[in-house]
Amino acid sequence: MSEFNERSKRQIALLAGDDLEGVSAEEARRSIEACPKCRGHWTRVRGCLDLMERAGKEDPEPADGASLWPALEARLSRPVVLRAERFNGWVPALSMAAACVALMIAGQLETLPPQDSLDGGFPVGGSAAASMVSLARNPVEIPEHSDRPSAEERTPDPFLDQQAVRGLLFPYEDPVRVSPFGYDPR
Amino acid sequence: MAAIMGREQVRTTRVVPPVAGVSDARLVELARRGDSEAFGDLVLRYERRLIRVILRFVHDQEAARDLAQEAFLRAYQRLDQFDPSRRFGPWLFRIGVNLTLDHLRRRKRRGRWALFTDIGKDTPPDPQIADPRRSIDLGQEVRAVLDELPEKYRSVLVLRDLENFSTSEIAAILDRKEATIRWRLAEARNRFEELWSRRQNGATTALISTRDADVDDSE
Repeated sequence: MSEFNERSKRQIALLAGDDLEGVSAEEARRSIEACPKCRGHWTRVRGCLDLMERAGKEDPEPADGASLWPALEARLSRPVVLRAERFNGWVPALSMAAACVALMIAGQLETLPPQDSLDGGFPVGGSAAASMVSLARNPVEIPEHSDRPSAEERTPDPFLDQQAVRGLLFPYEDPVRVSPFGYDPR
Repeated sequence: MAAIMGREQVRTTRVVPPVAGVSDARLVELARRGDSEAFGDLVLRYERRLIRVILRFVHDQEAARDLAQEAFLRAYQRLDQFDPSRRFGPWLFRIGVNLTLDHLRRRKRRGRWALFTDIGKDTPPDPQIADPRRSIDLGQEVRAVLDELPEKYRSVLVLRDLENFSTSEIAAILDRKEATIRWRLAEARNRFEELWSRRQNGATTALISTRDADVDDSE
């Protein structure tokens, strides 16, 4: 290493402060002897270190005041509030924010018009949720048809009733059809 | 063992220097068991050095004392996190240096804000009063150059070349590998040299132009 480059500059800077040892130090010494630029750099860095040493001596020493301990001792005697005991305001704030976002989304869905449906009348996406919301609020009356038995004649079908309730809750899973206009017990 | 013997005589003022025979590790162990007096011995052992190191960065006695006190307080509160297989000194200095650098960053941000809010408050220089820049001493010159260095280089340079910590100690204080510290140290010294030379050349140029102006005026 007898040329002046970034590597030699770094090595010379370390050597100037006695922070280089072994082979690297020998290498840096040789380059200082052989290369005038390296020698110049070494002289300048060495000068800066002397300068800092002198300036360091001029810097004010800590004032001969009282020890920190008495004041510190008083502070140590106060009960320390552990991290876990501190009130964490983020949890309720984030919960509230999440609830607000959920309400906003529900409101948006309610205002959406019914969208395209899959499988001939099975609503998807926002329309499904919207129809569920409107269904819950305004129960649709199923018109009585002449070919259907009247309410008195009809045999109660608990399975069908359960399906209807389930259809309200899980529209994608249930075989009970739900159209944008309400419940269709086909 | 200051923490064990002769406590009653020491309690009144607590400015008695710590007993040298007891190791830091032993005092830490006692402090962790709740003996705050053992921690007091550690404070007495390290406070002056810690204040001096912080003072190198903040140049303000009161601020340095406050930061040192805060560093000791945090060290006490985090004693359970201290690895007893390591040395207490670098761990304490790490807390102190980190607090100091945070303090400087906050001050810098406030300074930037003040730059926009305090416009017009400076009074124009009085020609009757000599330019104070001519009387700036060496320490201030060096400090001005150090302040121009990025924080990661300045910290290493201050700790190594002003405070004489070894590179391994600095690695422990700054929580970096020793190779990284050596690389930064070399870079810091080279940058300091470059800035210093530029500053000196600038000062020389300014001095020559001032002399030329004086000659023109006399003619």
